[in-house]
This record gives sequence, structure tokens and C-alpha cells, in this order.
Amino acid sequence: MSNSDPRHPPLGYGLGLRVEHYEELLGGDPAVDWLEALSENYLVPGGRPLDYLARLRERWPVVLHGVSLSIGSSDPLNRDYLAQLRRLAETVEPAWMSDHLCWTGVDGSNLHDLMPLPYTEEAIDHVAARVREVQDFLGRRILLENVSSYVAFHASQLSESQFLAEIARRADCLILLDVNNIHVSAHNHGFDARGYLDEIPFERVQQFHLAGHEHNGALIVDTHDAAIVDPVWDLYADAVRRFGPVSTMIERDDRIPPLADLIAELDRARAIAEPILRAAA
Amino acid sequence: MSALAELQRELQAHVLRDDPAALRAVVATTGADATQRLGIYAHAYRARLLEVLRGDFPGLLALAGEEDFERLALAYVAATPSPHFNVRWYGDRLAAFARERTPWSARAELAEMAELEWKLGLAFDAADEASVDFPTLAALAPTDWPALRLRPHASLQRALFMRNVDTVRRAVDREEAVPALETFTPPQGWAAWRKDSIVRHRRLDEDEAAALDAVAQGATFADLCAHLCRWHAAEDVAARTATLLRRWVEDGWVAAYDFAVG
Repeated sequence: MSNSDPRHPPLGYGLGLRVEHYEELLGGDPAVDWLEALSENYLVPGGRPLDYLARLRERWPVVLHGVSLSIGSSDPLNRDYLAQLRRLAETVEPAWMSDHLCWTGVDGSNLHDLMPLPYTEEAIDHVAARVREVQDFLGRRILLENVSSYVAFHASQLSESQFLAEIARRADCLILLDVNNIHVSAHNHGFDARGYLDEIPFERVQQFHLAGHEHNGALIVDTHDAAIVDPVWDLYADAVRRFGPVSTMIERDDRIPPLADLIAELDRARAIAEPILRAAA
Repeated sequence: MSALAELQRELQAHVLRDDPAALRAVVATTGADATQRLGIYAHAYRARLLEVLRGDFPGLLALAGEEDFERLALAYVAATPSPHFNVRWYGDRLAAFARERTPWSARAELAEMAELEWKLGLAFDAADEASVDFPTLAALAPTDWPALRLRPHASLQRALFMRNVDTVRRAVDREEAVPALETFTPPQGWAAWRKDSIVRHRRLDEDEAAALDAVAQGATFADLCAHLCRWHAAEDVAARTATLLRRWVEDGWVAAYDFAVG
């Protein structure tokens, strides 16, 4: 899977697909360029979720975003999950598929959370080999997303950005940069968010996530349930300056607001990114 | 065991059981120590699963009340690590848990509501398949009928309840006042299914419940007629069987049919 620029063409400005917005999306003509569907919501035998997804897919490009790959787990890869994911991809024909640089459980248990990895050579070898295996199975490059984290480990030998960059290079995969998550983790661990961007290989960044969060005392907790805050918008502008026209998407997981509110945020993303891209052109 | 595997086991043990071993692996800062940092994951785990159960079991929440629901759900979470990658399936043992564990086993309606709501969920996203329509069946030759066997639709769910948990759930769905609990003797048959993407449910007459059970076990139309003799005079049985069949077909409960050989 090697060529000079492994990225897919950018899709513009998209939204995370949420049940609350199905009807409004289908009934109107919202200024949304593409949709990101949470894979697990559609890994069910049948019924309304799959029906809606098929109808939305007729109108918008869709990408699939998973939370269960558990790419960093020391458990074996879940073949059942991968087989279901591949079947879903055959139906949806997503522009691309992504999951997180994390682990979600061991010994057969699932924490349903994006647990952080130690940034070690051992973890790089482990994750990169598994990404290659997944990519072979799915027949496509996947994107790995940086997660928000609240713990750092004594065992880590690298920074998070070095860890992500090295895995992307060795596994020949793409990157989904969650700008909010960089901000959250930078705050929680005291690293420089701009320096983080500088260490990410330009040619591997396929997608941005934007989201909100909440402060919880000394730590920021990534709740993805609030409006995007100004420091994240500022960091987004820096990311656009560094990485160029990357597909941008707003991800709201809880306290889902009216569609119009998210479209207004998406318009703000456009208003930030487009002048930067025009100036660079 | 690799260092990665060992670390992950320790972290998971902290999230699930508050095991302190992982604390030594975590970098503390002046603003936030290792306990506080790891605590975010432990808290998020319980909160997430509680939220999932709250979404899947609104009738149980209404019956139990906020406090007891949370107590039951947290006891379930503590006793039940999640075996499936998809959190969609996390609640599948809640009904059995409520049926078997004190103090919830003393309130049988809680387990019954959990069973009802889980089955509504199964009907919601069961596999898509077409249903047989009535003209197709009506066109069968009279000589074909005795050997006719029906295959129920994938979304069709069955249960027997001792209490009116179905009307309680209906009231919750409609945001109406929850009705008083009633007890049935004998137990009341109930079915849920999906038609036109909408989940529906209704009670079954005693003979209908028994006939549906027989269908699920591969009974032919002739077997059904014989079965229904328990409830009806011989001259009424064929008409009753035909009535039931018509209703099932109109409700989309019949996915396919074939004919028993021999």
C-alpha cells in the first residue's frame, strides 16, 4: 500500500451522524458535505438504523468511524468484529474507515472506553503489526485517531505525537487528528499542542475532528458534549495551516443540540479554514 | 506476559475493581495524582454502562424509581464485565440478574420489565426480511393446507408475563401516568415485532400463545388445528386457526412457509 500521497481527496466539512438528526438531514438541504457514521451503531442484524444509513448514503459521502477495534490491546484481534465491519463496508462503501489509537479491553472484557497506551517501542511494534493485519483484512488503509487521555505512564519512551507518527509510518496507515483531543491531552499532560502538530507527518493526515469538552478541576475531561471552545478553534487554524485542505468534521456524542447549531459550528470551521487555504494556494 | 499486557491488565483491574496495582504505573502531577487520573476512567466506565442501561430500560427505570434503578444497574455493572465489543448487547443478562438476585428478585415485575424491554430491542434491530402476504397463502390449494408450516419473522419475540409490564411500558413511551400493577393468573402471553420499521407489541390470547409456540416448533396447519381443540369445539377449530393465521400474516409475523413431507 505504498505510493507518494496515500490520502483520499478531501470531502470538505462534515458532521457526525446522530439519530436525533436523521429526519432533519433527509428532509432538508443542510450545508453538510459528508457524514461520519459510528460503525458499531450499524453492526446490528437489521432494522431502522441500517435503513436510515442507506438513505443518507444515497445523498452524502459517508465514512465509518469505529470504537471497538482495540488496536492496541494485548488480546488477539477480534475476528468477529472485523468480519462484521467488512460486511458493513461492503454495503456502505465508505470513503474511508477509522478507529482510535488505543485499547478497549483485555482478557475478553470490554471497557467501552478509549484507553491510552504506553508510548514504547514494544507498543509501536505491536500496534503497527496489527494495523497492517487489519488493513490486509479490510483491503484498505485505515485512519487512526489520537485519543484524549488522563494518564501518562512511567514506561513511555516517546511523546504521544512521536508515537502516533511512528505507527503511521511503520503501518502505512492514515491519521485522523482530533484537534480537541490534542488540546485536552496537552492540558492534562503539559505538552505543547503546536509542537504536537509539527511532529505529525503531513502526508498521512486524512481527517480532523472538532469537539467540545469540560473542565474537571485540574484536568480537562473530553466529553464531546459541548460547543467547541476558542483554544480548539485556534489550534484548528494552526492545523489547517500545517496540513492544508483536510476533511473536517464536528463530533458531538452527548447532549446533542439541534442540527442548526452544529451547522453553525461547521460554518465557523469553514470561515476559519477557507481564508487560510486561499492564502496558501 | 509482555509489559504491555501486564499494564493493560492492571489498568483494567483498576477500572473494574479499583485494584490499586496500576497506580504505580501512572505519572502523577502536582495538580492531579494517579488516583484522580485513573479515577476518570473508572467513573466513565460505570457512567457509560449506566447510561446504556437507562436508554435500553426506561420502563424498568419508571417501575423501580431512580434510586433503585441506579442501585440495580450498578450491581449489574459490578457483577457483569462486558463480553461483547458492541455495547448494544450489554443489557442482555439484566432480566436474569434481576430475577435471581436479592433484593430485586422479591419484585418480580422488575425482571419481567427487563425481559420485555430487551425483547423490544431485539425486535427493533432484528434482521430484515420480507413477510408472506395473505393473498399468497389464500391462493394455496386446499389440499396443501394440512401440511403447511410457517417460519416466524426474525423480529417476532414472545414472552409470558405475570404482571402488566406491557401497559406500564406503553405508558412510559407515551409519557403518561404509569398504571397500577396487576397480577395475571395464568400468565399473559405477549409478542413484539417490527413492521414498517416500527416496533409494536400486543397481548396474546391463551390459545394464540400456545399456537405460536407450536408454530415455532414446526407444527403444521393440521397440528395447529389439533392443538386448538383444547380451547375450541371441533367445528370451530379450522375457522379459529384461519383467523389467527390471517392476523399473523397481516402483522407480518410469517417470513416464509413450506410443506411438511410425509
